[in-house]
Amino acid sequence: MKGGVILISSDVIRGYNDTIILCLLLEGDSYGYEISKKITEISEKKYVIKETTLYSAFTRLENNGCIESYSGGDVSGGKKRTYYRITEAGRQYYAEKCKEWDVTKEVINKFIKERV
Amino acid sequence: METIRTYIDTMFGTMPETEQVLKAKSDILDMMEDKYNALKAEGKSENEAVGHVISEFGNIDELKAELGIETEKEEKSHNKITLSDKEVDRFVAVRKKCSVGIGFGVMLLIMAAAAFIFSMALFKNGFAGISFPKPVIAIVSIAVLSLFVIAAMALLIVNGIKMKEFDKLEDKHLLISEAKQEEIKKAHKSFTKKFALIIPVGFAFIAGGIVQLVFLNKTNAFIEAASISILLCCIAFAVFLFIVAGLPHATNMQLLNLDEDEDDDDDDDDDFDTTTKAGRVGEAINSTLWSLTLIIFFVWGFVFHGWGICWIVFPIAAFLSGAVASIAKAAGSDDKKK
Repeated sequence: MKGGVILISSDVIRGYNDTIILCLLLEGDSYGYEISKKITEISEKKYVIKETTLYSAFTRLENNGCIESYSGGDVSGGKKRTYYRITEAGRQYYAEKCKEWDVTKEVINKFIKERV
Repeated sequence: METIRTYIDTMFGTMPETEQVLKAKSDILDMMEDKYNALKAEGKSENEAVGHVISEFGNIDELKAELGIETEKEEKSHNKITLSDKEVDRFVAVRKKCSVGIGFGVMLLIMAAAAFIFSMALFKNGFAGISFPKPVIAIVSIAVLSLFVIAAMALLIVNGIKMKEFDKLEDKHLLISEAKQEEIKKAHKSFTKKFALIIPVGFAFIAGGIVQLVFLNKTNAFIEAASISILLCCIAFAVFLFIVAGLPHATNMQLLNLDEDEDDDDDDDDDFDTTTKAGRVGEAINSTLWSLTLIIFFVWGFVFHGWGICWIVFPIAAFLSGAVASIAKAAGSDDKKK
């Protein structure tokens, strides 16, 4: 914990890294750093994803067929980046995870006392 | 940015250089570079940007798990070691160089004996009509022997130390990159052919040595001694060939993990399996047997002055001990099955 701001632990969020990435890819193809940046922005800095976590998720999603990678764009220096796009299977998986979260949220909330 | 690159190199340092790993390294480097550039554009200093990027790197073990690479802890418990391409090259080169050194060392050791015999014979024979006094012959011959032995030991020690670096690889499963594996496989194939040729050559030398010994046997003492020396030198040279060819060959096999599946000699060290009752009983009987044997031996010798024959208790005891061991093992395995 840093000065009152509560950061999400990566252990807790582990089950939903894939979901977060798929959500961002639904809006359009993207690449590593851009996704990392969006996560930080959208979560209002409450969740800053680590490079290893992010890349592990990409690997996992690609192995599951939820996303595809391709070479595109260019990093200053003339090199190409690896871009990712979501697949049909990915969209279905995302929909399932969203439903799963609704149930999870409902259950957990029953055990969280209201703050006074 | 260089700092970041070095950091990544270190983090990925212990991983095998497979295509998947290299891609992961490159992609992650790209992500970090993008982040770094963005931070610099925001106005952060070099140190701040680099610190930021590195602190958000994360845990390398998480990545290893995803890539299916064992962490160092897992590797150690599974008895595996990863070698980078550079390390493999170094291993092969050192072993190759040392094979020559050790080959020479052993060769010189055997030749030391040959030189000693030859020197003794030569000086005993005398030349140019001069005959040498025995002490001189002995001293000179021993000096010659010593020279050879010292040179041999120096070579063996120096090369032994060089090879010590790779002792940690003994009895471990080695992981190397696929490209390197292909390279070593090819080298192994072509080298095995060479090796197959060298062995007969070595034995031919030994055979030649034996032949010349047989032929020159019943001549005079000097020639007999000389031909013994020649035989020893032939053996020495053959051993040199076997070592110089054998060590690199074994190195290739070790790298390709072809040296596994060998029955560990360590397994059956205990003659008696003390986890079974039969084993414990057997061990007790065995100890008693040998103690009794010793007592009988000394009594027979001292009291009955039977030194000429009392030694026979030992072979008998050995036989009985073997019998006890077999019975204990058979009875013990029955126990285990229950």
